[in-house]
This record gives sequence, C-alpha cells and structure tokens, in this order.
Amino acid sequence: MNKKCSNALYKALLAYRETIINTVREIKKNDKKAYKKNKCKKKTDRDYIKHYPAAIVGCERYRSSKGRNCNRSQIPTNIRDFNPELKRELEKLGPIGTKANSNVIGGCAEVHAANKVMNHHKKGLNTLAFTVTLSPRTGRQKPYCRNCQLTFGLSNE
Amino acid sequence: MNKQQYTKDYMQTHDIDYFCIINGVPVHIASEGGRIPDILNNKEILQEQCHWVYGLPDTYNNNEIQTNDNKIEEIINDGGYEYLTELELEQSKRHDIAKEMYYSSFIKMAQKGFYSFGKSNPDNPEDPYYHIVARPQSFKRPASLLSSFLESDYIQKISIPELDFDKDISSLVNLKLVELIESNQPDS
Repeated sequence: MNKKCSNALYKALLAYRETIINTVREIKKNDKKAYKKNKCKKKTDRDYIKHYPAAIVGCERYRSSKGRNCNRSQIPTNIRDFNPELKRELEKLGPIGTKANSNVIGGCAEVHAANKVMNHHKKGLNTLAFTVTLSPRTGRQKPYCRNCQLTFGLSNE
Repeated sequence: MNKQQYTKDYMQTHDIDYFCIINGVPVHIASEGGRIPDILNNKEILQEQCHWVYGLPDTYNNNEIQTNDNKIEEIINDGGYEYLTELELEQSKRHDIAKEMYYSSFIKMAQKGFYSFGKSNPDNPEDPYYHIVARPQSFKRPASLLSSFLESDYIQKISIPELDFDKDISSLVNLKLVELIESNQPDS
C-alpha cells in the first residue's frame, strides 16, 4: 500500500508540468537566448530542459507539509550528490547508470525527487510519499517501474 | 553508437519530438520514452527540426483540426487520469482537463500542418505501437516557412506503401511506426 501524499503535492506537480511545457516550448523556439533566460529564472529551471522528460513525479515527507519536491526522469550524472541511503538501495539493483528491469538505475523521476527530499531533510526512505508518475506531455499517469517498486516499496495496485 | 545519435538511455528518459515526411504528408511523432528510428536519430538534425517547427506560425485554426476522439477517450477512461480526483473537481470537469492535457501538444503540431502521432503505451519503451492524435482536416497549401522546412535537408522523405493516411482517423491506430520507417528506404 502506497503512502498517501497531500493534495498540495498534486497541485505542485501539475504546476511543475506547466513549467516544463513552457520552458521546453520556449527553449525549442528561441534556443540559446531562452536557455540563458530560463537558466537564471528560478531554481527548478536551472537545468537545460530541451526535451520533455519521459516522466515527472512529486515526493514529500509523509504526513508533513515540509520537504516537497517535483522532479523528472534524467540520466543520473549527479551520482556523487545521491543520498547515501538511497544510493545503497539503488545499488542493490546494480551499478547506478546501468540497466535493471529494462530501466536505467537512478534515471527515474522518483529517484531524483526522493534524493532532493532526503538530502534536504535528512530523513530516510521510509518517510517518503509519492504522487503518481506522469508523462508531462500528455499528463497521462504511468505505472511505477519495477526498480521504483523495489527501491521505494511502491505498488501499482 | 554514433556520437551524433541520442543514446538508448537518453531516449528512454526523454520524450523527443521528431519529424519526417511520409508519403508526402508532414508527420510529427512524440517519442514518449520510445526509440527513435536509426535513420532519423541525429542530435543536430533533431534540434534543428524543433527550432524550425516551434517557430512556425499556425496554418490551421482549431476548427480545422480533426482529433482521434475514440482512441483518446479509451486512454482517458482506462484510468490514465484517475489522479485528478485528488484535485477535488467534478467528474465532467476532470474529464475536460484530461482531454485538454492529452491533446494540447498534438493539436499544436496539427495546427502547423503535421499529422501528429503519440505512443500508445508509454509505460513500456519497447512497445512498438503508435496512434494518430490529431491532423489537419483538409489539405491547405503550406505557409512559406513550412514549405521551406519541408524542402530543406533537415527533414527526411520516406515512402511507406502500406500506410494510407487518407483512411478514417480512428483507424490510424496500432501502427508500428518506428519499424515501418526503418524498413522503408528514404526517398532519394
């Protein structure tokens, strides 16, 4: 049974989706100029998002209004910044950046969102609650992948 | 793997727009985590394509776009938007939001003159099936910017005899688009 997250996290996730859509559209249209502009706009836009991510998700501390993060699927290039507990759990699947169960270990949106929450609030994996995972282009719900089910104990039931 | 190509991992973690001309029809495909056909997988060209297309003006207005309502209703009713219940909205409102969310990026492409396709099962990157989401209702002479793009080297022309885009929109589903593109030679 997944821990239920707050409605506010769903609202934050849909706002994050809007930001991604607008940023991607603007960057594709104006390329470098928009990149520079968006890069400095606010923290969540710092990365150069030139394609839609395949998935986005929201994560927060269970039953707490603090520690909320929405994030996207991306190749894990920031392994050094991974929370040690999260890293240990991911490495049970295999080396980060390689594939397990047809997915890149550490590439899922859930991992990046959880990492931010865990690093910021120094809380463990078992305190996290997630929204469903969405495809940002269509807003369509996607099931949690096998890797996320094993790492975070998430279920698609 | 050519350095100019997106890697499998990158394709799996991103939803990339790509474009080609199939049987003379401008086509947009949203990869939604799926594989891009090898012959179209070129970073520089894909970025140039997006730069062109996102800067194009609309050729068609909203009333001139035909949408694949049967397929999209099926996706929405299949639980793809159940999470909207968390927003405490009425059911009819939730349904409208779901439709708007699904259609918006594809209709934008159709308004620019493209037949726009989405991945039928984005949960599985290996799943080969695509369906049409939106297309212009009738043919209009493309605006000059679109014509220049369609005549440029940035978009490949491909013949796929087994694909008939004149068919009813609801029948343009379950298409193995990537495989069809790869198994047919680009027009010289």
